[in-house]
Formats: sequence, structure tokens, C-alpha cells
Amino acid sequence: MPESTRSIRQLPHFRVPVSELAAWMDRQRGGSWWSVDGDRVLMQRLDFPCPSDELAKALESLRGTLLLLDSRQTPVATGETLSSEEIGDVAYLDKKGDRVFRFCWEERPDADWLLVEDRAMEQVSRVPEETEE
Amino acid sequence: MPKPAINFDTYLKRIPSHSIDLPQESEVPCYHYRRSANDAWNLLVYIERNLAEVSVYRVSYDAHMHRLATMVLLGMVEAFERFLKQLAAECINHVARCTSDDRLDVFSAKGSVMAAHFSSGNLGRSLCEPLAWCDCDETNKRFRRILADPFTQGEFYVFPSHTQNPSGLRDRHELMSIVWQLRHTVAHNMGVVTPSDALKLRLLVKGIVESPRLLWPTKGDVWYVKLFLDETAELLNREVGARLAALLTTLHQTDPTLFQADVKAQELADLFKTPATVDGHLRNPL
Repeated sequence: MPESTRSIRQLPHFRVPVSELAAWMDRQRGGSWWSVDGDRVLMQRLDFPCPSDELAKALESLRGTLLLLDSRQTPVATGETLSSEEIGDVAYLDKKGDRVFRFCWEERPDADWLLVEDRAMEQVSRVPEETEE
Repeated sequence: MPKPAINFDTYLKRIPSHSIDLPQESEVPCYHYRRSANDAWNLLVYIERNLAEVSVYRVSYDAHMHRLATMVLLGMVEAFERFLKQLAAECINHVARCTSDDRLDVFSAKGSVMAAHFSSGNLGRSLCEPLAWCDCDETNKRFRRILADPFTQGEFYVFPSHTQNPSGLRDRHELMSIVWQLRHTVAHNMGVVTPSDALKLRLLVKGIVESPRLLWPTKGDVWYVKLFLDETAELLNREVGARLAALLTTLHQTDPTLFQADVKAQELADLFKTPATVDGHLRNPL
């Protein structure tokens, strides 16, 4: 993900109601695991990494709107609202193929935070003994 | 080229001033633990993910990731130790003024420590913070006394044996002892498993542990420790909260003027972030 010291507010971004992110996360069944890096509320409530259904449930209990960094090759977003069907299309894929999103809360002055998929954890959680190094 | 002449007296003495505010969640023990353990885990995955984006020399990368895993493992265990201290301190603050037995004699705070904490007016912290809480038996002894019914030795163990209570916390003593021993090896010997460490670990894991060797944990190892500590912290938070509520109920029934039961129930619910009942008054966390 392109790093920047500037906040999402100053960069091309989308708006995502947290209920839409919860709905999207709820559809990431099949063992997808996630970590949240930097969000105070989620990091005090959940033990990360956690499965998508656990995170979806926590997101469902929250209210508000998220700003999502447009991390596409040519970022042009100007605050368009994304639905749960569209969120996956703008995910940044890291070198391992994990999806990474950078968010901030529209209503809070808190710093940006990351939502990161961890597919390695998905494998470790399935067959721990076989993934020992 | 000669090394620069550093004024150590200036530069080392200013290090303690390089600090930031505690996170907001630090007032709630379970939130504070979770935040710190998650931060420690995120350090590992953040470095791993971002280094995957650039070209690295594989041998150095692998070695550094193992060293980082060692540090992160230590960070998680220390977050858990602090969680135990915070829990104990909060329990003391709730019971100290309501009991007159010798329960707090299990602590032996020095005058200098008491003096440092005097202005804060926080008895629990002054008794708990100077102590190490990385031994199951010592931790058992302290919690048992803090949470004992008046004028008894107590029956509540945070790391109970198969026959001790509460049953919900059983079967963790041995595994927790392994985690404490790993912590000792990393914190005091930079990960070197000494013959003494190996002997203790050998008895705990009931298998061969070689020494002298360097502990070289994987990311998976760190995760298993985190899963265990996360689960233990959750259970402990719930059981200690329930035991404290039961003790305060006993105390309130003996003397209803000690405190307002409904107010106390709300305080416990907010402290443990779980519903709390004190003498029939049920409150949920705000």
C-alpha cells in the first residue's frame, strides 16, 4: 500500500458506512482472518488476528462513516459512497496477495488505521501441526 | 573515523522524558491488555508485510524476523503480567476499606515505594506495581488473599490445580508456567536457554530441552502464545470480576452502610466490561 504521512482526509478517498463494511466482512466466509492496526475501539474489543465473522459482528455494533483511502493505481475518488458490493474492488493487494485497506473515522479526529487480511493465519489456524517450521 | 563524543550524562538522562500519554483504554485492565497484545502482534505483521514489498537479503531477513518474534513474544507476556497487576490493584482498591482482616499482609511494600505512590492515593497500585507477577504460585497466593471471604485464607485461585476453584480457570497452571519460563529466558538471557532454564522447561514440557541454545520462535509460535494469553485474560477477567462481586456482596450484606450496592455494581461492570451483580443489583457496562 502506498505510504503517506498525510491523512486520508487530504488524499483521494471513498466514504463507507461502517454497516456496509460489516456486511462486506460478513461475506468473507471460508476462513478469512483479519487484523486491525491502529483503531482504538476495535483493538480494545477484539483479539487480533480474528476470523471475519468475529470482526463483522464487532463492526455491526458500531455506528458512523469511514473514509477509505483510494489505493488504486490512479486514485481519483472524491468521497463517493461505496456499498458492501463495491468495497472489495478497491482493496490494495500486497505482495502476498493479502487485502489491505486504510481507513479513518469521518467523525473522529483519530489517526488512520489499517485493516489487513492474513491468509497465512487462515492456514495456521486450520492445521497447526503441519505448518510448523 | 572516530566515533562522536557523546555527552552520555545528557543524552541518557533525557530518555525517560521521551514518553507519550497512556492510551485511553489503559484504565480498563482487559482493554489495556488487549490493546498492548494487539499492538505487539501488529508490529510483527506490519514489518513482515512491508518488507515483503521490497527486495531483501533472505538470510538477514529470516534472522531478523526470528529476533522480532522473540521480542514480540516478550511484549505479549509483559502485557499479560501488567494485566494481572492491574486486576489485583483494582481488587485491592475495592476491598481494602471494607475489610479489617490481614489479607493485605500478603504484600510487603517498602516505605520508599509507598512514598512514591502516596500522592496518587491508589493503594492497590502502590502494593502491586513494584512486584513481579510472573509466577503462578505467587500470583495465586496474592489473589487468593485479596479475594478471600473475611477472616479466611480464601479459596479463589487464578491458576488453580485440578481440584481448586474456580473450575473455569483450571488446566492453565502448567502452560502458564511454560510461558513465564520463556519470558524469563528472553528477558534475562536474551533468549539463551541456559542449563537452568532447560531443566525447568524440560520438567514443564516433559520432553528434552537442549542447552545452551538460542530461542528462535516462529510467527506461529508467537500466535499460539497470543491465543493462549488472550483466552486466559478473557477468562480471568470474567472470573475475577465475578469473585470480587461475590465478595462485595458478602461485605455489603454484613454492613449495608459500607457502600451503595448499585453504585458498586456499576463500577465493577465498567471496570471488567461485563455485567456485574452486587447484592442483587445487576448493572451492565456503560
